[in-house]
Amino acid sequence: MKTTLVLVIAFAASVSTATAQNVTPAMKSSNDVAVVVNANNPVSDLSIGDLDQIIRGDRRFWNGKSNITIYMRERGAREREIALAKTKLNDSEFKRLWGGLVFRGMANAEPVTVPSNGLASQCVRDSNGALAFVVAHDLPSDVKVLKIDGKLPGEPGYPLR
Amino acid sequence: MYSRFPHPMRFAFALLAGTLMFGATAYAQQQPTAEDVAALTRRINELEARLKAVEGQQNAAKPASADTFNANQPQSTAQTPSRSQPMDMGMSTHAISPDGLSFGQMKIRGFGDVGWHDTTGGLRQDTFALGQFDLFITSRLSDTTSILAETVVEADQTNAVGIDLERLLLQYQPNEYLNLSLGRYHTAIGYYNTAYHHSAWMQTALGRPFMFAFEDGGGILPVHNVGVSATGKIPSGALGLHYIAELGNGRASRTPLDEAVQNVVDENLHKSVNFGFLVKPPAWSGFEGGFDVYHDRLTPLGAAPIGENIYAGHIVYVSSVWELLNEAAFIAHTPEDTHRTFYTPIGYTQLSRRFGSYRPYFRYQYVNANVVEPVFSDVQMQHGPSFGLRYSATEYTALKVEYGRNMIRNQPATNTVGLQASFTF
Repeated sequence: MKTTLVLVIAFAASVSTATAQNVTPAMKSSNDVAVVVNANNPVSDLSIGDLDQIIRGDRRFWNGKSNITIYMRERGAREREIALAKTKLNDSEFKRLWGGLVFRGMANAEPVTVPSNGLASQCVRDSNGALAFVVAHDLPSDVKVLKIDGKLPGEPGYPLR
Repeated sequence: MYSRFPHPMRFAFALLAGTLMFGATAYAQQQPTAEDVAALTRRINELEARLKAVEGQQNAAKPASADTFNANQPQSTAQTPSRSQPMDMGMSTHAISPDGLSFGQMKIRGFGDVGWHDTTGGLRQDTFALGQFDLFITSRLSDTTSILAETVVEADQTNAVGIDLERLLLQYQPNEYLNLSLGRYHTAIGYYNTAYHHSAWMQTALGRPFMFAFEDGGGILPVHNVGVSATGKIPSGALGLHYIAELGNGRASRTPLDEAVQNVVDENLHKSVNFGFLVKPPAWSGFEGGFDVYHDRLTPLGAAPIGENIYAGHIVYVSSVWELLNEAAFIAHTPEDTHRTFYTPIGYTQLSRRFGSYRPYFRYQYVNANVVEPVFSDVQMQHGPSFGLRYSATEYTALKVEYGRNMIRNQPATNTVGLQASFTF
């Protein structure tokens, strides 16, 4: 009885997460860097300007309400380099910028550095306000991939590649 | 002698046993017994308990391995750092928990500076000098609440070392429209005071402009206050409008010997207020313009109370290459017995540009206080240029050299050459 119940719940959970994601087979074969958020995040589309503001810390809330927490790969990782290249910041400037925001009391935490795409995706799954940069072929099926300037990873003209 | 088939008795026994096992398995698959369910339940409970224990051990291990503001090793590598991996010291290493970030964990960052200067013209000084040893602590208590503290250890002009709690704030930030801080803060007059705080490493130049000198260093603005400060965005589209509203004890004025910042006792019943607006258009990253008005009532011993109004404005542009700072303020003091208002204009402009690791800079500053000004009688008129070079020796160390000339009314001008090593850790 209980085992049946457990199986039913597990199946229901897998169905609910599967419906929240938008990872396509085309993305899985792409080397583009995807911008991923929690499946419950209502945001689906960002402009490259919005993304620039988020990375620079000029915009720190989703729709003005919940905190955006950035999960970045470690220094030297391609995902990080591509994300920062869009803001014309190098690692040192990025560090100094966010250190200054925290030092000035404008942000209550700096972006979190994660050592793998798997951990970045896990953090996005577990945190409603999370935003991470993950190479598209490493995307799990239960996160939400944002369109950047109306385009998904793998599509022509996608800006993070 | 071997036959083609097993012994008939053995074969029959095996056939019977197989039939029984198959039947029992098939039956068991169709109808789990109560014992089976109980066993599975026990197994699930054991696994759940074990999972909780493992999660508990992981959480207990996190602070020790990954809880320094400045050591940015990812959690998995922080425990076993590799020599081949660059030390990514910039970002914090928040412990990563199933809910993303762990709360309540303290992060510490330090700033410090040491230097040498030679001043000629007035009282000759040729001295090495310790700067400030600044410990900056933050802790995120929840998604909306955090603690911020800045403690500075420094020596004064008598060479005695003292400790000052420069900032201690409980911050509540539920959304981008409200960032409420309670405690001791840096007054949001102008730009510089809330941009660089007590870190020499974060500043381009050797020191703060005279306009924002600290109270215990002869500064004339109330750069610290104890009370409540609120800032936030105002929905304004492309304009990027923000507000500032502060209510605090204001500064002490009873005697010149008083501690300037009224940390626990306000010498009067009047509170200081500061209201202002900032413009930070999202499309012009790095640009900020602002204006604020500060009001307080000073009550010096043996003299009439003095109304204090400060009108400050700034236009700055700070990018990774350029830094252009322009700030000005008028300080108005009106003794309530004479009702005569004394205006003290004060300001500075600073320009710098980065060339790789080098950043040359220029600053010109000006202040002009009336000799019979009731509060700043010793300030007089001072102005002069300074220029220098900041060299980022490493990501965490800056070396600076500066020459400055300060011309004071009715006094010989002073010339200062200074060197400084500032660092963060």
